[in-house]
Amino acid sequence: MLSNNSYDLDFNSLNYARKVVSWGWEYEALKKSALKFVRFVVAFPLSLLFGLWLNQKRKSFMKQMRKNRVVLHNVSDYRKLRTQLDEVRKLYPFLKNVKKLDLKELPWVFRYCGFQVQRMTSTLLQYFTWLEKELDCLNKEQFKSQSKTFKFTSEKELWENRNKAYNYWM
Amino acid sequence: MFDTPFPYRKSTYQKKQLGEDSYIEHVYTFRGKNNKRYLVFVEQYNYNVFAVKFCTHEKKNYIDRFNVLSHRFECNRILSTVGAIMREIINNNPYATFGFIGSPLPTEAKNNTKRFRLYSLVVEQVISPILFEHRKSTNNSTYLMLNKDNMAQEPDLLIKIEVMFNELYLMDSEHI
Repeated sequence: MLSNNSYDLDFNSLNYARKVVSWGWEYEALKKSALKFVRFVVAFPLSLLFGLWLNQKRKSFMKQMRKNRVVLHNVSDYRKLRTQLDEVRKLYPFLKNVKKLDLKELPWVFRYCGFQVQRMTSTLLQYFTWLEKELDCLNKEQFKSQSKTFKFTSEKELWENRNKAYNYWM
Repeated sequence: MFDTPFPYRKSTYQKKQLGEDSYIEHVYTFRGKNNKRYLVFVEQYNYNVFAVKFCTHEKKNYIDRFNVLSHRFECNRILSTVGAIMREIINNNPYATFGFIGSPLPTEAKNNTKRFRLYSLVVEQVISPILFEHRKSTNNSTYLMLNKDNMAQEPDLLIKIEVMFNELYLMDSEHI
């Protein structure tokens, strides 16, 4: 007589397999929601705080840069400014890349922070342009003459051909 | 380099006549490494223009005193001393404008001389464009450092200096 044996190996194994797969899915879903939670609860506030802090920093820097305009009184001011500009020029490509960055490509959590970083970068670039403009007067001839006997040497030319190890006499 | 001048002192000054123009010659002296004496002549012209020259004491009465080489190999300290003298002048006269002519070697042409090339290189390294406007005439081996503080008093300083230099040194006008 054939007995109805519920102990069907194939059927049980399929069930177990289904369960394992569903546990896997549940784990993935949990992980996703946990990540979303972590992003929302940890990363977003941190990034927001950093963005707000950056915004405050930018505002105070803007006040300072308007108030404390660089004026070239003496050689040490000039040397300091020139050295600073040389250092900044090395960072220009990076800063320009940050400015060009598409915020839509960033995860939404970091968008505000990215926006503030971009604003800070453009403020810094603006400031460096101002600094460079301070040197414009040194690159223009102040004493005019029709004759071309004495050729003018600009500040830019002098600085580029200069050995930076020497001190200025005056 | 160019930071250690020899101790120097102002020896004398006197008014001199050059054609119709006059100038004041200030003479400074100092001793080099081997105790050899040097003379620095700073000629003070109109419009606060100072022309700086130097030579060895032993050659002071020779016509070619500014042309020959001393072969003492202490050029950088001599130039540092000349720089210190220039600094003293600018401290006493904040409107001073400086100039020099790189004299040719006995076998050299007058344009772009060896001395001019060396001195202009040094001046470009150690004199900032803050106080002075740098101008040079390679054809005449002449270098000018125009004092910018003098701009308000003498807006035509460069033209006046060109006229004066043309009269004094009969320079050729250069067309670039």
